[in-house]
Amino acid sequence: MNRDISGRANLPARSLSIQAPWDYRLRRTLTILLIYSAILAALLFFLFPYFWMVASAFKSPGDVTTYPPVWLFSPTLENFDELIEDMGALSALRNSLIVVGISTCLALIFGSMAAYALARFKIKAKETIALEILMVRMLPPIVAVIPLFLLARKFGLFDTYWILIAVYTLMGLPFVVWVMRVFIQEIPRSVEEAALVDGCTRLQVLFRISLPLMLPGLAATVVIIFMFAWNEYLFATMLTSSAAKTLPVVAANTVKPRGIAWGVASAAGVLMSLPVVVLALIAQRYLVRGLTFGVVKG
Amino acid sequence: MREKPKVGVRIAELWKLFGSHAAVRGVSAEIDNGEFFVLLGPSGCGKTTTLRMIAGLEKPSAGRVYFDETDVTFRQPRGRDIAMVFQDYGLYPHLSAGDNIMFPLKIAGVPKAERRRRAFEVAERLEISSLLWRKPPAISGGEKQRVALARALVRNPKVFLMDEPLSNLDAKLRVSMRAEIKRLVSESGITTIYVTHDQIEAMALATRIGVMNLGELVQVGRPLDIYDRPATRFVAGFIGSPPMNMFDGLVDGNGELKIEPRFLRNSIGPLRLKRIREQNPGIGAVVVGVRPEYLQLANASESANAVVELVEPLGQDTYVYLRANDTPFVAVTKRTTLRVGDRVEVSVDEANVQVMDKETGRNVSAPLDGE
Repeated sequence: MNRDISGRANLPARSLSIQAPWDYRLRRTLTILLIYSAILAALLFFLFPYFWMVASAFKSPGDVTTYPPVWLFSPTLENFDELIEDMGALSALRNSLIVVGISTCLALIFGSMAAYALARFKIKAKETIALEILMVRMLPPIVAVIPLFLLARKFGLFDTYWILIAVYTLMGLPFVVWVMRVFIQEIPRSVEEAALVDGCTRLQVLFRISLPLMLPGLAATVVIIFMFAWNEYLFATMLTSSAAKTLPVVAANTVKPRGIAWGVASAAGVLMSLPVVVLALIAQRYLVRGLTFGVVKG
Repeated sequence: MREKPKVGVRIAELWKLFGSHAAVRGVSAEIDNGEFFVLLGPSGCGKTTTLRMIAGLEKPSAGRVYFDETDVTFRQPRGRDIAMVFQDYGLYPHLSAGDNIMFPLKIAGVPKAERRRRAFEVAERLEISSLLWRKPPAISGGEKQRVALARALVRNPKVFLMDEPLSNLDAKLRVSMRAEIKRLVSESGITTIYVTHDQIEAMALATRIGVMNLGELVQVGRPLDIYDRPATRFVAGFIGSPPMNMFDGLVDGNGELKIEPRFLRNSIGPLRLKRIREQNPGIGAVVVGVRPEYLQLANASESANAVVELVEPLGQDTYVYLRANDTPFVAVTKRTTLRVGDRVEVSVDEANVQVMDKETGRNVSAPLDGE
């Protein structure tokens, strides 16, 4: 590098003038700080209750209700022990996983197929059909509880997986149809037609082209309908008694006549939230939309 | 290899109904092997629907499609050995450009090494080797167009189908891609059917053009034949820019042509007029068409029969808008010193005048060379 007499690097003058004026830099730094503190505040606001729940789950009954709250305590598995041993949380967890897992898959498969048909094929009164599907979802659940209870009794489905799977699938379907319909409409027809011309069968087009393009939509939908069904309490408590009891029912049972078992309730909360958190993390990379953007326009 | 029949693609009496609307009305055509056939027409004339029926993406309501004299009317697209370039390219957005190009080979079960070799070869020819790893949303419109072309070329199919492949590009790129498509297609020697609404594109590319209007194939012919001898008034007006000048006239009972402006009165000789009347008994109202470049302008104040209303110097050509006896028309000349308000004498050679029956729209010119 060229050096002048003083020995400093002889940089072109241009490189100095690129630096922004100091007041501008200060303002930018302050803006960034402000944004970060706002994000931090929001995170604290939303995550603190979760933290508190997790902490309470590991506190002994004495520590849970202490006021002012204790921050340091010796963690215990007492609450989980009670939840599992006395309240049958493990079998409820299994029930929940089976019922919600199957109903989510069913809603996804049938919902996507219906959505594809509504998005692509010529069907008479298509818009009306779509609206009617949505109306099922608008019905207040409480309206359906009594008839469903009677039906379940009559057909011997009370306290079985089947009745809950049916109900949750029905609840998830309209949502899947409406969300996926929009996603499918966004896939240009020419992309699928190009695949047909390039030698694909209809089924190959679906699995090699359409499905990968629908993934972001499917991921978002899965998380949401899974959550709906996973947290559902009303039907779960009315249509089961013991064998098919799901987690929300068990969690609600921690509210006992003689008081709320805060520690056990928190432990139930932790147990319940885990699958949803895991699912959201898995689906995260697909939740980024924009895969289909820029297909048409250059 | 088996000898190829002369006719590569034959469509016979193709109809397509959408509800009660007939988009394509009994279109028949024979396209020779190795030919570059352009379907030309205004939007909504059924040209794209016709192409889609040839591709198998649309089922005809009636009629047949033959490839090499084999009936493929109801075959799936994948059973037809075709490659298609779509107006919006139809690239697979989740695959890289390279995977897009290799996709048809992959479906056909070509081994991986061979796939790569052929994809690279095609990419090299289209100068897109450097973007094979990028996904379609990350490349420009012109590059997408090249990738789409590469995906069609890599197959070495029996027929290329192109549906307005240049319409999403800007004007400059369109001209250069047009030349490139012509070069690539003629190198490959593959039968091509190309749909466009742009008559200049059609003239530039086609070995033969099929002009469509309102669902019907109006005229099929070589570009210059269509230009010189349009079969109907529609074709005459649709092909050529600026469009052909049309003047309403009347052949009266005495066999005389009555028409404004006057310089056209004697543009059709008595012998020719007689023949037109013989061939078309009962002809009355006619439309006389003259292409703008066939109008000769002469500076003359005495015998002047037209006034200059507007001059558009475009460099190579100059458009001169004129008016004679209250009838506006346009002439194309080389560079000119004419100015607005100048009086000029307009004349036209008899050979360059088209006569069309106003009622049927048919060209009834009875050309001179037939004498």
